[in-house]
Amino acid sequence: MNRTPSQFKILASENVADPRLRRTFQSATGHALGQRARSVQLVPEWEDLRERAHRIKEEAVEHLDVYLEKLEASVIRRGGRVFWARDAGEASSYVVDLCRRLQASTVVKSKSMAAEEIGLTDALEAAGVEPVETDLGEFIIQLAGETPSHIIAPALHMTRQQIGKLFQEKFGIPYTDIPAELCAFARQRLRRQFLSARLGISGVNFAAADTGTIVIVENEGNARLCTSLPRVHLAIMGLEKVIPRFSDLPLFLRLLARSSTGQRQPSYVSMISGPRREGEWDGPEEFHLVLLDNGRSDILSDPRVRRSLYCIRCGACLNTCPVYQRVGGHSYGSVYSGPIGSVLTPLFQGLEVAGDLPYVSSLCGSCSNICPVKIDLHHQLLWLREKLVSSRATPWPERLAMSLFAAGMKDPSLYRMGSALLRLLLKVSGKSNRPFAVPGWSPTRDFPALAETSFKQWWEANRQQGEGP
Amino acid sequence: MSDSREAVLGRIRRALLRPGPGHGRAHGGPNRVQSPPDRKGATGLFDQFQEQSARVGGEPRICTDVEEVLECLQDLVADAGYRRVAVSNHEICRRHGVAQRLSELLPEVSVWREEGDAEIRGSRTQNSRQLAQADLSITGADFLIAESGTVLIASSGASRQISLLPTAHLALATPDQVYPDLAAVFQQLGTTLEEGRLPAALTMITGPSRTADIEKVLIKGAHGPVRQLTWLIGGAG
Ligand code: SF4
Repeated sequence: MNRTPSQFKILASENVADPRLRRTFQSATGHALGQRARSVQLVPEWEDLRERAHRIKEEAVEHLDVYLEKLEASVIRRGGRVFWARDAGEASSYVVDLCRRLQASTVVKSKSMAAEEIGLTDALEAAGVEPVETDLGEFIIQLAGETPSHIIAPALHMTRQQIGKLFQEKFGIPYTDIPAELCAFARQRLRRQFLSARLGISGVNFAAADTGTIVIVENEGNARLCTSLPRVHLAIMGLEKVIPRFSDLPLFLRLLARSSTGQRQPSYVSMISGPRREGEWDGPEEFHLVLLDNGRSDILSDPRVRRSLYCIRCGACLNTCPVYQRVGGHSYGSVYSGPIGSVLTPLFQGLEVAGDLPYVSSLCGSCSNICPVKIDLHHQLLWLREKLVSSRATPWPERLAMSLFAAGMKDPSLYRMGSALLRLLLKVSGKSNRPFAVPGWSPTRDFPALAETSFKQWWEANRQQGEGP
Repeated sequence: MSDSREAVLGRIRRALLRPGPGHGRAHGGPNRVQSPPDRKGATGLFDQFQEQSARVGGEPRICTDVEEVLECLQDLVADAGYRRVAVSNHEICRRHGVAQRLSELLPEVSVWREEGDAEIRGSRTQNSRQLAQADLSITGADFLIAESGTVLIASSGASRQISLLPTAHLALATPDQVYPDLAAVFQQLGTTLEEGRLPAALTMITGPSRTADIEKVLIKGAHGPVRQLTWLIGGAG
């Protein structure tokens, strides 16, 4: 299914109309939030950790050129290779060329948002290489021809029955909807692929500039297999994944695990510095690191949204977002969903395509409060709205309404007049819940009931009687 | 190739309003790694390790000495019906002659060691295939982290896949390897770093492999071991 960010309203209403999907997202996000809250509670210095992480990310992003060059030098020193990719096309062709050289007909792949972003699997397929997704959730959605609906749990939107049917159809195995059996089948099937693939592709959670170490965090073990067994390992990362020092890792690992799943540590953290060294029993003979720009340097050029590059993709802002909880990840029509997706997608794909997304927020600020690296997400959404408003013509009724509103808010006597007029109007029209017909708005919303008198009138009356609160 | 490198770096410098290369200077020395003063002895720390490891489905225990380790191993192999055991070349395993003793004690079990010439690709592939058949693997640990119940293994000590491919993985550890938290381990690693001896892979293992990708149901043993055991040798001396 091809979804685009411009379809937000349609996709969201489809999701909201499906009671099962609604329940799934509400219960899954609620569960994740509970786990997170419990584990964060045990860290009294949590706020301090967030602040430090924010400052380190700031240091990295404000000196991105310096740290990337340092990272490159460190990786090369460890015997690895580095490729800088301006855009999706360059990154994909580098990977395709590598497959050709290795004569690799299949590649095993673990989860990578960057690979997802550039549509790497499509590019590989087009070149006749079979990309095998090995993360269980990704394996399932690849089979179904779907896209991820959550950063951490890509197949969140599917039921066990749907998955059971899918396996039955695609592999001709007897139907089962027992999660453990489905998982065991996938494990067995993928083992063969791991043992024969020549190239393993992984994402990167953090890359330490001083040692050239890339860090991959996971629970299943498929990323460990992708990076240990095949002869060649290629890791792909967005430019912003670089951190200054290896010694910054304990801090980030602590924040990431607790924020995303509430774990103290995930099952596996792999810290990889270059290819296999002499005497080691496994590990790749070649290590390639792709540094992906694909719009990131543009984001960098606007200091107001630059901080969105601090994101460590923990998924906490998705879970806490009242909009995401109801509409689910697919509504956003892009790889990145939730509040961070509403910031990144318009920046990556342009406001013309994704202009709805900055409005997909109640600006409650819950995302900014939960973010482990303290990105002021709701401010960034506001700035994007500002950009949009100043870049495209707003319809005249909206402009008129807004300028009347602005005038009223600035002048107390106008404000009083306006609210008296509104009360009168509502009384006369007799339709207190739907006084105005505004297409696209009023049919699904009730006008809040108005009190008989305004607060100011009430206050003055009661204060005189000495019965004020 | 260098085209895109210069292009990307140029874009970044323009975005940061840099006149040219070399103008951005990174500030600050190494990040101070704070870790709370350690008041617990090795016993207290391993208690904490046990608690945390068990919480995530790991199976930690203390053995007074190697003899007890071997007794427990016999029970483990018998109870679970394991037929094939792989032993790594990790220093702890070699020091105690684990592979040798085990094959003497359990002649019906095939005990197999990860040794030979690692420089030959063929033997490495063979090694992987054999490991994928193993029921249990035994390695040493390089660090234990009490706060999270984590075992840390360096690729210089044991292969990456021996703790990954078999159905169950047992890590043997000694009391001096237990650290309060990751920051403390990194402080220790600091010296290794300065000498440029960081191994190609450092792996942190916390409990068995798991997934919750199908309807959030927790399943152990997604791609890696279903069981993860950590035994401390030598009590908490
Ligand atoms: S923006 Fe913050 S909360 Fe959201 S995914 Fe990124 S790091 Fe996590």
